[in-house]
Formats: sequence, structure tokens, C-alpha cells
Amino acid sequence: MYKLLKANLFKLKKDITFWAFLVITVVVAMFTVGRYNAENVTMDKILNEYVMYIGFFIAFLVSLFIGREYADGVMRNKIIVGHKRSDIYLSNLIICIFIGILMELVYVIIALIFGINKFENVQMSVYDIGLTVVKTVLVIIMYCSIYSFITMLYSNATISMIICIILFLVMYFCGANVLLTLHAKEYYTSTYIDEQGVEHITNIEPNPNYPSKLKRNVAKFIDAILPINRSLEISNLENGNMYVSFVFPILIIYVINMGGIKLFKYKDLK
Amino acid sequence: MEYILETNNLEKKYKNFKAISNFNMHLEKGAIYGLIGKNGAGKTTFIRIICGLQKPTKGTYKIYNVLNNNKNIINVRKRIGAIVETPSIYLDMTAIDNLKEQCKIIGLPGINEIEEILKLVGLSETGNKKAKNFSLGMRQRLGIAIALIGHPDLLILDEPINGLDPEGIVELRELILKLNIEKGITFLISSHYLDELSKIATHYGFVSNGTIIKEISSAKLQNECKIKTQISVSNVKECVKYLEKMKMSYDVASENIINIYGKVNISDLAVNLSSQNCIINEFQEKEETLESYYINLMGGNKNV
Repeated sequence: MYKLLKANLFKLKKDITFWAFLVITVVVAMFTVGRYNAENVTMDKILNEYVMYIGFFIAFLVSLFIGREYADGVMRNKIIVGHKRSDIYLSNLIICIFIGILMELVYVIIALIFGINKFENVQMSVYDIGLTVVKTVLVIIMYCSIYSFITMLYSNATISMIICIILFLVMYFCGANVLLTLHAKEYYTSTYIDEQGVEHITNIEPNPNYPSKLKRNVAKFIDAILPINRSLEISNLENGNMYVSFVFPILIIYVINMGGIKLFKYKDLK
Repeated sequence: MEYILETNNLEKKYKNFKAISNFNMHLEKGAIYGLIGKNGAGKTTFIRIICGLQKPTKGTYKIYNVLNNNKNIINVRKRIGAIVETPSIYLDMTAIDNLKEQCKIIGLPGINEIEEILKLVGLSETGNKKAKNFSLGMRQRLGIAIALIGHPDLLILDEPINGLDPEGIVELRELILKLNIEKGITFLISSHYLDELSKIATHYGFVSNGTIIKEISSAKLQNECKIKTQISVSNVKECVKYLEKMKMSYDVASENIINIYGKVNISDLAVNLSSQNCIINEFQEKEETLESYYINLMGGNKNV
């Protein structure tokens, strides 16, 4: 495993796409700092913004990094010289996670360098910062696990890249819809504000489109399993449910990777 | 006999299609084994199984006496280098970087070895040129160089001369012979370029419809493919008597046709047979090539 990790790191160092994505990350960080008005936004928001898009960038990089092993046939070299398939799978996954974390780190450092003088300092407590870091790492691992699963099991580099990107977009729209469902109001209220500026409710009507209990439960479940919703949670500086933010991601990561390793063990390689 | 690779009724099924079945082959140490068969005969499937890329659906194989379902097979594979179909190289890397990557995969420090191997395969002058700008022959040689990292005892080459120009074919042939003689590396080479294979192989395995239909050594094959003179005579009995007396190698092909193997002085033969009341009506000199041997083995042109 250690040998494979060393080989993967060497390959990564020589990979132009990887360096190009790091440059893109720097540009994104500078653009994000420049885009926001210092009066409305704190440094916390700026630092957690990138986690919203990281799933998209990871989709590209993971499918390129692993897909190229299939396209160039180099995956065969590892098996022929006697490496275990589980080691090959895990070493690729670890490198992808490393790439994801490194991109996030680069973003944070650049955003800090350019934004420290513009925005108010970080408002979060040390404890919250710690939780956010763990959550962010878990989100990155979730994305990497999903994309590695697809790319390791589907040997066509181009198609697996397309699948990963489409999957990210599907997750994005799905996640947005789920949030709309979960945040739907059960009642509509009509209000007016009197001369003293006090708000009065005049009418309460039930929302005819309010989702059923079943629909809400399904939405809750989807919300819990989608990494994009964890990204939104982090980016919106929300404190999510402990189970949803930590336990579910760990379970999902475990299930996807165990399944991936098992299937890869029996995959016929060409 | 010490075999470094042997298979026992190996079978690989893809859904309802049997790519190979009852596949039995034996590879001796130090041999250059030519696996001959038409496209789709099952050569590549067999190589993929041996290299661990695919699992057999039935049967077993042994590499260096270790069975495929033994956990130790992973360690034994470290003694193998292979090129399956196309050379497995990173096209965006230079030759040196490709070899460095392979050294890291195997866990070797490698710098000295890299230079030596690049020299051996004739790629030491490629410098910063990336593999994507290499010719097919250079890529093939780089593939072999990668396979040579870690000093394998067995090199498996699947269709190594596909797409090579004549010069590339000669270079590759010389490289294989050099590695076999100087480093004692055993080769398993699959190809459908029969004549090319006949220049280097010491053993052959003929594959048809997913099965090895014949294994033969080069020496035996040469014997079977030797020059023969086919004569049509008026009196086969007398002719046979004369050939026996002269201790010549022959076989009777039909009522009046005899095949004589080895060099024959046809005018002496005609004079001597004529004195025995036997006249040669027709004669033809034939040399059976590997190709014609293969075609006959496969049951004629329509099956090849």
C-alpha cells in the first residue's frame, strides 16, 4: 500500500491537470474574496464558500486521475506485479482524498491572505471551527468515495468522467429540491403592520402544497445522504444534526468503499 | 520437466460465451513460447488470466508451482513482467518518469537500474520527450522496459509486433533474443505473425476456439516442417524397397505418391529407380512453412 501511495504521489506531481486545478482554486479564492461586500459577510462565510463547489472539481480530478490509469493501461502494471486489488483501490481513494483536502486548504490559505484585511475576523468559536473542519473533511471523503467507486468500476475514463459530473449536477438539483421540500411552510399567514410598526396576523391558511409526512421523511433521508447538502450546511454556517453531519457520512463512506473494494476484486480487467 | 507455468483445463466464460475452455499449456524455464492463434482464439483472455487481470471460471493454473487460488500467487507474480495488448505507459510522462513510477510501484530505488534498462531497450537518448510523442516501436520498447523493472524471470508479451514497422520488428526480435540468452528470461509471446514468431520461438502452442490444440517444440516442428520431395511413381513397392535400402526418410502418401524428406538427388534417384522398373512420372519439391503447418493443423484455409 505504501509503495502504491508513493507511486501515486509521484504521478500526481507530474500531473498537469492537478496543477491546473490548483491554479483554478487560487483564482476561485481570489474571486470569492473580491465578490463579497465586507459589510454583509464575515470571514467565516468566505472560508466555507469553496466547499459548495469542491464536489464539482473533485468529480473532474478523481475521474481524470483514476480514469487515466485505465486509459493508459497502467492499472494492469499494478496487478501484474502482485499488488492486492483492495490496496490499489484504497491507495487511489487516499490520493483522491489528499487532492480534495489539498484543494480546500489552498483555497482557505489564499482566501485568508487576500481576505484578512477586507472582512471581519472569523466569528466561530474554536470548537465550531473544529467541527466545521471535520465536517468538511467528511464531505470531501464522501465525494471522493462516490467518484472513486464509479471510476474504479467503470473502466472508460471519458464516460466515467461524464457520469461523475452529471451525478454532481443531479445531486445539486436534488439537494436543492429536498431543501425546498423540507423548508416548505405548513401555513401561509397574511400580516399587516400598524402605524406603530407592530406586525399583526390577519389570516392563517394551510399550504395546499405542503408535503405529506411520507414525502418529508423521504426528503429528510435524501437530505441526510447527499454530500451536497452537507456542503450547503457548512457553507451556510448552519449547525446540523450530529447524526446527519457526522454519523451518516461515516456510514455512507464505509458502505460505498466496502462495496467498491468487493466489486473491484471481482472485476474483469482488460 | 520443470514448468514455470502450466494450466489445467482452464476455462473463462463471459455470460454464455466460452472464451477459453480445456486450455492446457506448459511453459518450460528458459523457453520462448509462441502462442499462435487467429484473432479471437482466446490468446489474450488466457494472458489476462495468467496476469491476474481476470479470474478463470473453471480450471487452475500454476506459476512457479504455486496454484492460482493459493494466497502466495501474489508474491509469485512479482517475478512476472507483461505487456497485455498495448504497452501500459503514462503517455504524458517521459520514458525515465514511466520507469521511476514503475520502480515506486514495485518498491525499488531504481536509478541505476533505470539507466541500464533504458540502454538495453535503446531508449536512453529520449530525454524529455514524452511517451505520447514516441513511435509505436518506441512505446513497445518502453512497455518492455517497464515490464523488465524488478528483474522478472518470465516476460509475457501479447501481440508485441502489432503495428510495428519492419525495422521495429527486427529491433524487438533482437531484444527478445538478447534478454532470453543474456538474462535467461523465459518468454510467452502471443502472435498471429507466424513467420516472425518462427524466428525466435523455441516452443509453440497452437490455439483454436479457446483451446490449445497442439504444443510442440521448435525442434520437433522443424522436423515436421522439413523439406520434402513428393514423387509420383509407377511402382510404389520397388520405390519403397530402394528408399529403405538407402535409409531415406519417407512416407507413402497414396497409391503412387511418396514423400521423401531431406535432400534428394533426383537424377540419381530416377536412374536407380528406373533400373528397378520404377519410373518417376512427376516430382515436386515442397517446404512446409510454419504457416502451412498451422493451416493444416487448423484443418485448412477455411478454418483459419
